[in-house]
Amino acid sequence: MSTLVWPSAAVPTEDGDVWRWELPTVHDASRVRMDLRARLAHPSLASRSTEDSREGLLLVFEELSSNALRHGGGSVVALIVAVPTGWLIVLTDGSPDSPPQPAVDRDPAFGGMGLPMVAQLSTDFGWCTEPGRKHVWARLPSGMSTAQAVPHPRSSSGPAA
Amino acid sequence: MNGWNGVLISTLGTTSDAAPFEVTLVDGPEDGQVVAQVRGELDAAANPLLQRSLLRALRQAARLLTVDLSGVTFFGSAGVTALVWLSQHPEAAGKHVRVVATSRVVTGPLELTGLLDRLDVQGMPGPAPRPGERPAAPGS
Repeated sequence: MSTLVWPSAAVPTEDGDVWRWELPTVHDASRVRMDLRARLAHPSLASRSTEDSREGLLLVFEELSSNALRHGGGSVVALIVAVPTGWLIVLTDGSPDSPPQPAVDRDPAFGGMGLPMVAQLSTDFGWCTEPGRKHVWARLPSGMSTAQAVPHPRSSSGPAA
Repeated sequence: MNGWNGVLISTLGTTSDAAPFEVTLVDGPEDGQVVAQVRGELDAAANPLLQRSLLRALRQAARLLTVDLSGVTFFGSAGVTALVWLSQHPEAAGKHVRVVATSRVVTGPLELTGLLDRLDVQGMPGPAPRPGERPAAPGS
């Protein structure tokens, strides 16, 4: 864990249902996380993922949003794309010059445990910048096998024009 | 720890604009012991008040503080950090802080942060992973 590096990598391009929230404060992040939990548990969506994977997404949302608000600032935006294999989550803040810094030999009483948790819950993760903005992203598994997650091949067809 | 028969000392909840959580302090079962029953969502928004609540609980306990997380419904790294902070606090000298963790919502983050060895945790199902070991993929 002490060797964790948060790689510089562009946000993956994924097609799927997109959820987006603006997060002015950590209290908004709490509210949105509870809203997200309710959405994920809705019967129409719950069959696409395991309970453990949904809890994982809520944890990753919490850690990346609190990092963005604490170390990033600016207008913080959270984006979740639901894809057949799981989710892509992207947190954007206004501090392109402060890269994600996983705790290395930092006293855990002062925090810094969030990114190592995210790394363990994710299949893939990274960060990138554009002028004035920083994106920190992670890809999470649904916990379902591919056969269960993609019952109909037509679901991968492109969006309607 | 559910159905505790001790003496209720106090209940402290969050204000309406914060993540909802509640800490109830109960005396006992022996002299110098206090149980802090924590319920609700422990996240970054809750953390400042959670730390104050836990420190207040620690001051009530002359010898042993048991932090019972059985009623916690969300447990982020901020919650783990608060427990480590409490157990290392100067006012914890000469006292013991014990954590009761029974639900996966709480045991998962404790394992993921690798901080189990920094805390006295009871109620964990199964052996803890070795430091640096990747846990099984979620759902497997």
